[in-house]
Amino acid sequence: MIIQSPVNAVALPAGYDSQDLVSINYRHFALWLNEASLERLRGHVSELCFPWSMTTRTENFRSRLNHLSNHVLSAFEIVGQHITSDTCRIIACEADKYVCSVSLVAPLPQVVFQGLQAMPCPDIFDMPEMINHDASPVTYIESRRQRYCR
Amino acid sequence: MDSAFFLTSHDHEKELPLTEQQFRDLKRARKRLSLVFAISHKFRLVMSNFALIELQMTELGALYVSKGDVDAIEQLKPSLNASINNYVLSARIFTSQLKRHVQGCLPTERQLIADLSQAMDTLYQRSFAYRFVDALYDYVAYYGLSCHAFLTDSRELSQKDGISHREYEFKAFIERDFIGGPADFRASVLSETPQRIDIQLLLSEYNSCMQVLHDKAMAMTKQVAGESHAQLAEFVNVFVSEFGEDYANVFVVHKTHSFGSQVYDRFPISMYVNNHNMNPSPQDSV
Repeated sequence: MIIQSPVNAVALPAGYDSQDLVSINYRHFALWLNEASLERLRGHVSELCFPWSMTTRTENFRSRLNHLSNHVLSAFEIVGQHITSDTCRIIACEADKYVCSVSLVAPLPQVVFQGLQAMPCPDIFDMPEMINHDASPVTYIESRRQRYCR
Repeated sequence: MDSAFFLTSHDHEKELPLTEQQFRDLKRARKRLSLVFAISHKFRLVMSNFALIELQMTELGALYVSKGDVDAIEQLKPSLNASINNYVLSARIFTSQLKRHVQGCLPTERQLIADLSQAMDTLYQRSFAYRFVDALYDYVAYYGLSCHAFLTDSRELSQKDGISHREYEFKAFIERDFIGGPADFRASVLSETPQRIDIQLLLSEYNSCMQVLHDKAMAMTKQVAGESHAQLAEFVNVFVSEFGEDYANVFVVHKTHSFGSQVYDRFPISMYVNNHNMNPSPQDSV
């Protein structure tokens, strides 16, 4: 059903679709760059995986993962400040109970890697890992959407 | 048995004697009308529970897209599950009693009851929603859980003036994986169950099945309901014209003198003649 946006709705970044899946034993929140914007992007897809710190895991447990969207928006903002540029753009920002992952498109993976090295690791995360994907931005996001839209 | 039959007011202040035949006619008319009303009440129960489900889904969806009031979310989730369970229970109340109610109104019309049975069989064969909700009753009666997952999607929509706004969509699901195996759920239905079932779509389809059965039962009982209503109304009108409108709440009483004038039977009739709840509502329309 279509629902009206409440006055205290979480402000999501413009140009991104969101999906929040809540189930018995899993939870997944995602921001994906919309299809029209994805089609204009060219470059390599890199994924930064930030495992939750122990403190955040405890907080997630207490809040029954209901603050996952806030953490995703924090990650989106931090990575946006330190890594993105005119040629490097976030195409996905996702979180489940284990990890928060931010996927970017850049002319070369090194651009993302250098940005990551220059970025202070926020307290909510443990040490990040970087994974390079051999896929176009459109294909990559399609596969991410399909993982949770059975 | 030495019996006496009366129409009485609520407080027994006023009485009008009845013959035994009049008593029997009134008892039959009241029984028939109460059965027709029961069909409507139970159908409304199903539709009202569905409206509650939609209302709670709207509230839960709004909580998920807002700033995460954990307590409110965790309170509303079991309430939504309870509403779905209530819906399933009310649906079983409606379907399990429907033929009995029609048969009570039309005890000699065996063909009509056969037609109603046929209609229910046809719906079971044609509609997955009908089969699934029927099987879900047994499941929730055992496990108590009828809702496993929620999905909130949002996307930006551009308007003609160039300003875009965000549209949110909320869905609640039953997940096949969480139902269990054929030992937990009717195997013939489980084998055709998809991975996820959108609860709102499922129950909307089931509602249309209930509407078909309700309309069919009401059409079958329309004549007898009209005759019964006229019969009860006639006696209520006689009583009111005799004693005035202050005594409009009329009851039928059967007393036996054998045991110190004890009341053997007593039932209301005004509530069937002047029932303001039974004015046709849009959901009753054929």
